[in-house]
Amino acid sequence: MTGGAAQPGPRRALVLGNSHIAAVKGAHEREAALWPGRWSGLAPEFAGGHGDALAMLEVREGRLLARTEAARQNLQRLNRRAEWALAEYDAFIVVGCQLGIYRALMPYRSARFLGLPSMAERAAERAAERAAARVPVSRVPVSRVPVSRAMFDLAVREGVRQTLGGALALRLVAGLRAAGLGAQVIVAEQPRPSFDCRRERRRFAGLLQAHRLGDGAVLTEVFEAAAAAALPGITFLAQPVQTRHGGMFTRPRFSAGSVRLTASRRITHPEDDFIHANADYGALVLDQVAAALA
Amino acid sequence: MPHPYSDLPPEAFWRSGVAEVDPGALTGLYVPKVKIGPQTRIATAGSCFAQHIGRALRGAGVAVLDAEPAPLALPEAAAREFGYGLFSGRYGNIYTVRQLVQLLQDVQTGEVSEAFVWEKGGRFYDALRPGVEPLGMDSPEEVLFLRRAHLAALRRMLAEAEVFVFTLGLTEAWIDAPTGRVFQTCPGVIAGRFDPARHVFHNFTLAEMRADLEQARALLRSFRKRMRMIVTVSPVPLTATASGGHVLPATVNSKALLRVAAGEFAAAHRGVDYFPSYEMITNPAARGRFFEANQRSVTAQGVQMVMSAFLAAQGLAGTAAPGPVAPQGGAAAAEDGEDTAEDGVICEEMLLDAFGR
Repeated sequence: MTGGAAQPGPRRALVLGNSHIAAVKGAHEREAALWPGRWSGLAPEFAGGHGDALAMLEVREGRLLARTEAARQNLQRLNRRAEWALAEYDAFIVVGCQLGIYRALMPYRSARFLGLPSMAERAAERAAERAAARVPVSRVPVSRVPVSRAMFDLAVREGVRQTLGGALALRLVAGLRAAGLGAQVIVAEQPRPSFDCRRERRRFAGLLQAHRLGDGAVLTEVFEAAAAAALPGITFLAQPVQTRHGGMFTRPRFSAGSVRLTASRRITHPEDDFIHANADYGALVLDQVAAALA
Repeated sequence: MPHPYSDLPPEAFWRSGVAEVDPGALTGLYVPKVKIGPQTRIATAGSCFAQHIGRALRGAGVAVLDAEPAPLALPEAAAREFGYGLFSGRYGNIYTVRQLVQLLQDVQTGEVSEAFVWEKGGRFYDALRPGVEPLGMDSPEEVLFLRRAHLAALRRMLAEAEVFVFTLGLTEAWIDAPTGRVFQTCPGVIAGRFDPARHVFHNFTLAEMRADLEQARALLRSFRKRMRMIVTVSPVPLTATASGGHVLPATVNSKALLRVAAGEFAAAHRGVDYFPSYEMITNPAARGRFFEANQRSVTAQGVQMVMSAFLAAQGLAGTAAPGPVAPQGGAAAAEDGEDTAEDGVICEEMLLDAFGR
């Protein structure tokens, strides 16, 4: 008995990322041994870069390559190649690359909008009263200025577009279009800091303050909507829900044991890293990617 | 026999003062009565043309106050669309003197009203400055919240201002009949709904504007004693007139009244000065060269000439007036005769042009 039409092969995906790619790469290596069929529809290849190596990537004549020699050397050392033909892939996935909750936190440092729980009506009136106090204009701090939600959203969208990940994804879309290729471009959010970061209050003061004031959920909503809106033609994958703590953090069990991006050696981050996620997290991201490409 | 004209300087005669002089290099046109220096704290307000004044003063290193600097890292063009960096507060263009009086009264009382929230497509706008939030706001509450903060910021700024520079732009306005409130733009143009039973056209008379200027001065001095003023008249013609006649005589009538109001006001007070930017741009010897092809927008060269003369007369010419930002759309748009926001100036009144047939 013969079967029907031939099964399509796995989707060829080039996964690009900065240090956060290590979680995804580590998950893929681990699961290949433990659960080979988990992502049978996906054939990923990893392209990690340190520093500004990924920022130096450009699309030229259908090929993704580095603009500078330093970037080329970094990519070569980490990936054993520094040039990729766009036509060889069905999808491009950008992981991390500064495209995370900090895009909402940066405007939050200097401005607030009425929809934030911390800016409930009474608080708003108090803010206006404080603003009315006779403080010379030249000495008025620019922090926490009331702005419209629309303007706040715009600032977050602008921030997303300017991140390493946002800019790289947009360059890929433009390059694919120019080459007449229809590969999908996906961006996976940079993991939010581990909730264990509360051990270092000063370093994560802004994030912890937003959490304490109850603004985390709204900032998450703003960031996710802005990320989707800022990247037309790109699929945005927000942090897997089961890995989140509150609106702004990663559950510590998805951060513990995270590893560095290296060529081959396995080096874990120090305990006070709090920024990177581990392979359990990376596996959930690959689940999201596989679902998006299915 | 000597007579009053025999010893007059060349600039007192049309031929030697205007006809035979390069219109870009007029001399003796402005001798400041209100002097400013780099440390003088200046507030600016007025019609679109006033945006050039603030920018030039800042470029010359003068302490132009900004009560509401852009708090977020937006591209400059986007920040300007949201009303940041245009004037000393985020009030947008103040076209009529009555609008200025009304704003100053609002600052004094701190009162806001839901009656002046406009809606369009499910978004909400401050009816008294609808252009400063181009995307609208989420709710009427957000409009009032931001207006309260705006008025509070202006109160602080006005208490600090030593010189208030105001450019008179229009005599025509739309008034909310039941309350007497004057709008920045006609209801329905940016947002809101025009109601002929409620929204009344008004063309301010000379007497009304003179009275309003006096009231504006008194209000300004209630925030800071001895605040001085410099008034100018915008040379930019009306985009459209609702007076029922042709836009050309309507423009000449408006500008004449504004010029007389400003001149009389300045003559009446030691602490009020008039700067003749209007005359410098509309000078017939220039044969229209300071206007763009649309015969309305002032060219970058015209702005530069006016502001250089102002800064030179004030002894602030060490730093040249900054070159204007290239207009969006570049030269092609100008060649098409498109009425663009020239030099990065934000001008709600230009929106009326879209309704021209």
